[in-house]
Amino acid sequence: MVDNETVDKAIAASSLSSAAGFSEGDDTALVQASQQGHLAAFDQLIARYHQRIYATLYHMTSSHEDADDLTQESFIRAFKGLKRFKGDASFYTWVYRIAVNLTINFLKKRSRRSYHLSLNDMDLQIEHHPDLVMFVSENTPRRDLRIQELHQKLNEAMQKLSDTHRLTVTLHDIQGMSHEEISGIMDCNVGTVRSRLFYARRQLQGLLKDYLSHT
Amino acid sequence: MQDLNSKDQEKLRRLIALKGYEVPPPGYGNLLANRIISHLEVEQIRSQQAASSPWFKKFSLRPVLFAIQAMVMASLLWFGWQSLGSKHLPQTVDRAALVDRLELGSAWLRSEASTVRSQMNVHFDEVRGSLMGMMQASSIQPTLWTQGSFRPGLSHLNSYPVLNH
Repeated sequence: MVDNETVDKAIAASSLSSAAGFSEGDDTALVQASQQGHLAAFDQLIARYHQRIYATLYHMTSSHEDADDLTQESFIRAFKGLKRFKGDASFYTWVYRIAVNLTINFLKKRSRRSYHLSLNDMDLQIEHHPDLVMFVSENTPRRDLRIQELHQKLNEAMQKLSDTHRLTVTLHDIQGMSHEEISGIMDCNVGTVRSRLFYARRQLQGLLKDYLSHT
Repeated sequence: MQDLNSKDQEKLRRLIALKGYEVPPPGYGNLLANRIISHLEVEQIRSQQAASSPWFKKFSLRPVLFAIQAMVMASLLWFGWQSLGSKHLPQTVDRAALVDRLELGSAWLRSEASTVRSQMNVHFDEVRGSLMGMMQASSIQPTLWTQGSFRPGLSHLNSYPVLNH
């Protein structure tokens, strides 16, 4: 049984570690407190991981509404299923797995619908990012249009991948996770992750060849 | 398996990585943690209320569950009744004693019935006598309508009331 003092200590330690930098090591106390039904402790866990999970689900669905709903549902399911969490994997991997499975099931049910991205979807600072400057080299009034077009093409290409390939690319190339972490989340071996990544990239290369050949 | 050109691969990696700069528009994701916690708090309160509510309210909330529980309870009662009956009833019946008891019972019933009947007759005579006395003493007499007599709406029959004393 976790008493209130322990919960307060865990939350205080979590706040300090958050202030100092990202630390996954001290999830255990927060998870144990959450398992006893302490919502304040679970709130800390949500604060740690919700942005990354949201981003992954957004790249999977290409819809902010869906990503929002799915992230919320993932954490609610995680809280309800915390009693079953034995600590074999990290909480981070476990909650990611819930979110990913939920999203894959959601995508199976959802009919492919059109999506529209605007410049509002991008952080304004990216306009000066060297990679974007490299891909959109024209410094003309049509530059904004080119950026928008690039983003649209990129999203369309991502949506043409299968759900598992898109997830692999999202976790590795966008979220920067290692093959081992992805294998834990996707519940498959590292070789499968590498293979999926290879085929996904080859398909993307074909879909984005215009941008790759120009630069 | 066709190998990807390493230069193209690097370009592709950098192109895809640009997606990492996408941020949700205002309103999305910002209040997500609050919404999740609020949702969980509401669920916790509901479950606590459900746990502390009277048992009959739980039944009324779930008709199917109530029906199943009612069936279970009824079957338990039936089995209980059966088992109690088989334990407490005598296994062998003394027929002669049973006949004696039945005859005694029927004789008692017969005597009681005749007593009740005679008492009822006495009361009936008393009531009838008092009623007759009241009728004779009263100025209001009962009216007997005979066929062809006057009744409202039937004046064309040209009939009149007949008073009987």
